[in-house]
Amino acid sequence: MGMTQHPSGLPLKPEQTFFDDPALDRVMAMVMTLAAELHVTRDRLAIVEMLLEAGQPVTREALDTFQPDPTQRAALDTARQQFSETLMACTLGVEASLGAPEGGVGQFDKS
Amino acid sequence: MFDQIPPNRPFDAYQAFVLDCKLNWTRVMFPELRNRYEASGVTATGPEDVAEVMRHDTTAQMFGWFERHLQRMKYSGQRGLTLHYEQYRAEITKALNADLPDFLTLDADFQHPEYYTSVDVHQHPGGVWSDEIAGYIYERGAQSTAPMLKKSQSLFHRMTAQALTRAGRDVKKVVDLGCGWGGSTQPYFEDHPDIHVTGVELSAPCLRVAAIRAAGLQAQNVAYRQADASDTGLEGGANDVVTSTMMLHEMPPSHIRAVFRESHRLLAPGGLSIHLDFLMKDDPFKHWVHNGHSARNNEPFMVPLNAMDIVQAHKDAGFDDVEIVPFEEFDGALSPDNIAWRFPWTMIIAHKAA
Repeated sequence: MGMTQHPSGLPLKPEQTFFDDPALDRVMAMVMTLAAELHVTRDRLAIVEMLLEAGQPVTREALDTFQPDPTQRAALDTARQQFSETLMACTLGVEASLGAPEGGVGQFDKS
Repeated sequence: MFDQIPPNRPFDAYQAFVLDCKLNWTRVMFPELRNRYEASGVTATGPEDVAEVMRHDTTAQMFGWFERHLQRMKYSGQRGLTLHYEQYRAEITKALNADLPDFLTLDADFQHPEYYTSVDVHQHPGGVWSDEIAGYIYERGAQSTAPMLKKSQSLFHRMTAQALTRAGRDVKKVVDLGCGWGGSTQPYFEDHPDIHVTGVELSAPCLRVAAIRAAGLQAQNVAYRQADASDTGLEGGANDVVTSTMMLHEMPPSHIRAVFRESHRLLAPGGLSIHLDFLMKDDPFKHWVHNGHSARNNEPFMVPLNAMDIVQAHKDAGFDDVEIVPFEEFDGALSPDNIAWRFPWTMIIAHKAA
């Protein structure tokens, strides 16, 4: 997806990285590439269902040029936002349940 | 015009997904990053102190990664702007070259400054100068650069209102430096038929889009000119307002000082110089984020601009009174309740002596 030669003739700059292990930067790029493509596929599948429910022909052109009505748009937007929120929540490292005390569970042993 | 470019649902879905992730980054990840910094208990005196505290923080690393790569995905991903519009190059080029209005002046021998061609600003591959459809792509992508803005147009209208209110006079002539694809110029010629505005810009591809949009609105009171903002070639002493929007941070300090001198030269006595840009000094945490954005979004001159003595640079250019004023890009943007990420929008205001 990138350039091999910059129009100015200047060499491209070194990779900009953010994680302690730069391999993570590249794996993250793969994850997000796949996530974006999964969203596009989910969106297309939802549109297939909408066309079928409306009794309209499902063709490549119909899918590529689909213009949702307000109700359909709201449903597609909600699905996209829920997916992106779920995905981005993973970046924060917030636990979903209460784990054991950091000091261990000995305090609970009454023997 | 560009109406031969058909709708493309997969492209729209991809771009909307990337924008949703950016909104999450803005509204959720940024406040969480601040929480983590404040939980450290460190009292930083500058961005370097914050950088040291956050160097190995996983959320900080994620924050940086997403800022850089969501922008990369927007332009260069599998359904990014550059790849998508490449499919319609012929249609876009045809529209860009058809019946250009005579109020557009391009310079076939124009030499771009080296600083301008040495960085692909905003991660736009090849910059906005090297490809004839780059201005169109830049315009299409501008809607999601600062995602808290519902429409970038509203920011430009707000800035125009600031300039016209602060001019303190009947404004007849305006120069808009670094006008890009014309977003900052349009409110002047569209909403104020008594004003003549001249947009000045380095990029011919951007100027072509600006001129075509203005022609489509049947504007009679605008001119676009390919020139350097520091040496416009326009008549001096003849303008009521000289303005720029998001231009200063795209150039080195020597050029910024030259722009201030050119602003002073262009103005009539008592005229207003007003530049909208990004300055962040009083909050070490936000200063650290701002410096990081400069690197992550390929806008390296943000840091030296922020370090400049702007008031002194204006005085050196001939201005006496200089104001540095926060700019509210949407209602509530400056409220303490707004904890989302935002650019540190700032107006730099000066009047030429009457």
